[in-house]
Amino acid sequence: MYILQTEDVIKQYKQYDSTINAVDRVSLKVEFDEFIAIIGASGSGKSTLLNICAGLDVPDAGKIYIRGNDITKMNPNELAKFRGRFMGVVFQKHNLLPQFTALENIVIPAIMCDQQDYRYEEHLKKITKALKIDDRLHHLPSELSGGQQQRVAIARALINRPQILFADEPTGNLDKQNANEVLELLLNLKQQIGQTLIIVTHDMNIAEMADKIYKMDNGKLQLYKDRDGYKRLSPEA
Amino acid sequence: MDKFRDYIHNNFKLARKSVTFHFKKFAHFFIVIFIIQFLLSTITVSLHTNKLNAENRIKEQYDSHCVFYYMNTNQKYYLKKCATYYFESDHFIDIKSIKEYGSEEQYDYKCDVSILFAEDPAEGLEYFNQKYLPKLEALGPVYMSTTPLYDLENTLFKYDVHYGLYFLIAVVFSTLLLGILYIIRSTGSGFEYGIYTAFGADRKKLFNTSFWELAVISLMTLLPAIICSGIFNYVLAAKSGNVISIGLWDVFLTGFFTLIVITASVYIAISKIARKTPVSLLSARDNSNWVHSPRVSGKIFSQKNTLKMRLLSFRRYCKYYATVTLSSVLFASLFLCGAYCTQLFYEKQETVFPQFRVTYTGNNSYSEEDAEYFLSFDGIVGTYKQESTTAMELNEHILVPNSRTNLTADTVEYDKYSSAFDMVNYFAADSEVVRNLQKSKHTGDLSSVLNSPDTVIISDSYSNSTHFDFNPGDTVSIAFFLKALSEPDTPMHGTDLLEFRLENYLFYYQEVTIGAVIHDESAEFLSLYMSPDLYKKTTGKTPEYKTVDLYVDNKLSSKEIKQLYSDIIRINQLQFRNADNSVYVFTENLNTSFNNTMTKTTELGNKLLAISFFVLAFSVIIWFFAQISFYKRRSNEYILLSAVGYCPRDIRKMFFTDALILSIMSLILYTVFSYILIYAVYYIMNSWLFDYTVRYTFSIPVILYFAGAFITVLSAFLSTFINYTIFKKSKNTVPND
Repeated sequence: MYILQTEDVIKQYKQYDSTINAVDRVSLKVEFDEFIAIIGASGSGKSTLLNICAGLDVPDAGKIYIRGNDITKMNPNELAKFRGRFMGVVFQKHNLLPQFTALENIVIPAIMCDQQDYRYEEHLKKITKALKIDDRLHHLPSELSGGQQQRVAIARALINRPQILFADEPTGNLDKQNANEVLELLLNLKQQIGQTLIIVTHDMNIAEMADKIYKMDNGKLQLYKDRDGYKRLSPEA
Repeated sequence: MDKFRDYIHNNFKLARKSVTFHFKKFAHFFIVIFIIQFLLSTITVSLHTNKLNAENRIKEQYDSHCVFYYMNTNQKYYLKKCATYYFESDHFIDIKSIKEYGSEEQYDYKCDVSILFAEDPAEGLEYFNQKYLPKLEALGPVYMSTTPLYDLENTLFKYDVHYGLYFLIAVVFSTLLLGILYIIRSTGSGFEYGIYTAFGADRKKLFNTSFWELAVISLMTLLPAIICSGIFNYVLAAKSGNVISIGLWDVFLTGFFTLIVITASVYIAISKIARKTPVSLLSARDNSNWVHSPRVSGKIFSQKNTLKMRLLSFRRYCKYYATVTLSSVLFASLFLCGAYCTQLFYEKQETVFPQFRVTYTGNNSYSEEDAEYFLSFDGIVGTYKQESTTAMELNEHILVPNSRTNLTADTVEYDKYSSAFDMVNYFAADSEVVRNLQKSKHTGDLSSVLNSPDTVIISDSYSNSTHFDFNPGDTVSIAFFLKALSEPDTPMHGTDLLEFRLENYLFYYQEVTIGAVIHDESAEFLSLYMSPDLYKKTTGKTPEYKTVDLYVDNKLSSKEIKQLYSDIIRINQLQFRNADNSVYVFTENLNTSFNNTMTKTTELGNKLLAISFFVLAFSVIIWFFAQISFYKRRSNEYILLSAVGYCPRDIRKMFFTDALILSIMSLILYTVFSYILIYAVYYIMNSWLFDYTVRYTFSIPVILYFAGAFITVLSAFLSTFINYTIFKKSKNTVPND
């Protein structure tokens, strides 16, 4: 069984008389513990695909299975619960709530999913320490640097111990040093917690660390590199 | 139990923290919930105050459930016996008073006996009628009438029903308002909900978050709202000499209904949010979720003309502007509609209703001499006799000129020039009828019907609506039924039946001239007044009046009316007797004067007007709440424009133009909405909730219309232009990410 499997996923945007295929018949299989990187030019549909896989957006057609469950058949309530329990999301723009402190932002998923059990505090300490934000927990987002904000966003995505983490350009807004640190943390945590990681990125250096690299072009997805090396891409991709 | 307590405590704690921390963000909700609670509290306090005062007034003025009038000595002693010995334990009666006319030794001794039932008066009276009335009647004629004390329970129940309805209306409007505000807020703050749903919040969780915030606010505003409402009610009650009734029950009811309003409005708003995907909610941070037709409005910055530029900007955000303008204008229009309802309330109160109704029994009927007799009583100012026959029941109809018929009339085309209509009441007109008609709105000479047998008086309305446009001098034809060639196979009604009759019945027609037209009459059928001869010819009956209504001077006090009633009954006993000495009139006290006084003391008109002003406040709140948060999210746009060379004067001009466009739009919409709403109320009151006693007039309360228009335009303008001041004061010169 795959942790994530998509079948012929289509997402189109209609703009006046033309239709844009943001995601065009994408089929993807991701195994447990795998690290997948999706690369592609701006506007190629990477983020749309990631949002659809994470259940944040709905496809126009196709199926998405997470742990064998077809999330396209779930109603918004079921999907929200499922997302909170099994998935974590790191957005490109942090998306922290400005009125809440770093700690409050981190615990939002735990509160929303009623997961404040006895292991929760221990886990919180562990990830905030690993992300080096344990001394900034009571600061508002506006009082944190870009890198720190992104770490808070990562901590928020990890607080519920998701089995699959979706990260949309997690280092896109960071300088090189911060980007490397954040990535290293993500990989360490992946190893420690044992989760699947799907990253959308522009940066080939980051992508190279993944088990598999997929390339997205005009909504179409093709395997670009796996453990056996680079693949020859079909001309239309 | 502990778990439940913890749940309440935790949610309450979190919500309190959120509300106090973001007090400014919730300021509008504080005002709105305060107003809602004020309204609800005013209704509940009014209900209890009115019930208490009604009970006090009735008990103050009436100490008995019923009065037996004009009893002879034997009857008096029989009633006394009933009170002393005969009544079983659960049906005690108490003789409250005996008003005597003469001394017992006199052969014509009479008295009025007032009795009070110890238990439920309806049951007591039923028991009395069953067991003892026959004996009482055997001793002499019995004339009994119940008092308002007898109907006390019903009267109080009516208050419950009326105020229950007001509660329902208040809850619906409050839910609507709070729902609109919450939808505006959540559409603007969708980002927050986007984050919540992205990290696992389902509808229940989202509902919980919002519900507890509003619950905390409502708890904070509950007491101040009830105190203010108490003061308001006290002032109005003092005006009518009433005492105010306020207690814990009012606090409970207000709190309970506030919770219902909050639950319903949050549920509506959250259901709308929960249907959206997290991605679409996350885009709400910058108003982009409101953007419509960007390609067309994309020419926005190429416009040199500020007006054109702003109109394109309006087009871009038309979804937002439509939502805000329509919702706020709707409440402003509801204000005017409320003012109109107040006007209707006073209109009904000013309508004169009969105080007594006299009914003739057997072969006896009301005559012209009787009119003089009734009018000879001090305090009786008018009589109104009623005797009519409908055209429908005679298989008849009238023909009216097509040119005088509105499209809404239920007529059937007869020929090219005329239409048939059968919802007509035929009345015989004599000098008394004509005298009464003088008081109604009319054109033409009413007395012409007395002088010419072919002249009639006609009304232009039926079903409480005007459907004809008759003028004095016009002619109509009265159909006389001759013979039916065939009968319908299936039951038919309305115009279908009339159509069938026209095709299958034989008639002959007599043309009559309209001498006068009664306008805006309150009646179910169109009235056609004709001479007694023509009435006899048309209906085959000699006009006979079995009932007559008596009107009293509206300056008479309750006590004087009670005395007048007693006098009428006593003297009627002497006046209207058959050969066998039995009395043939029955006079009923309709208690309209007392009921009218009771209605006046409720101060409903003033309360309705005050509530309407609060509804207008809703409109102002929506304007400021929506516009300030909308422009706050647009601040980047203006910062950017400043950065690329727009000077403060240009930006001020932009805000000014926006404010001007919105003001004009809101004024137009306010006028249109108000007209539609007032017409709807007018139509509903006259055609649906009619009782054919009052014909309400359609008129827009001019002063209040201008007051509403001024406040709407001012709110639209200021709520927009104030954002320029906010922008000017902000130190931001670099757009935020």
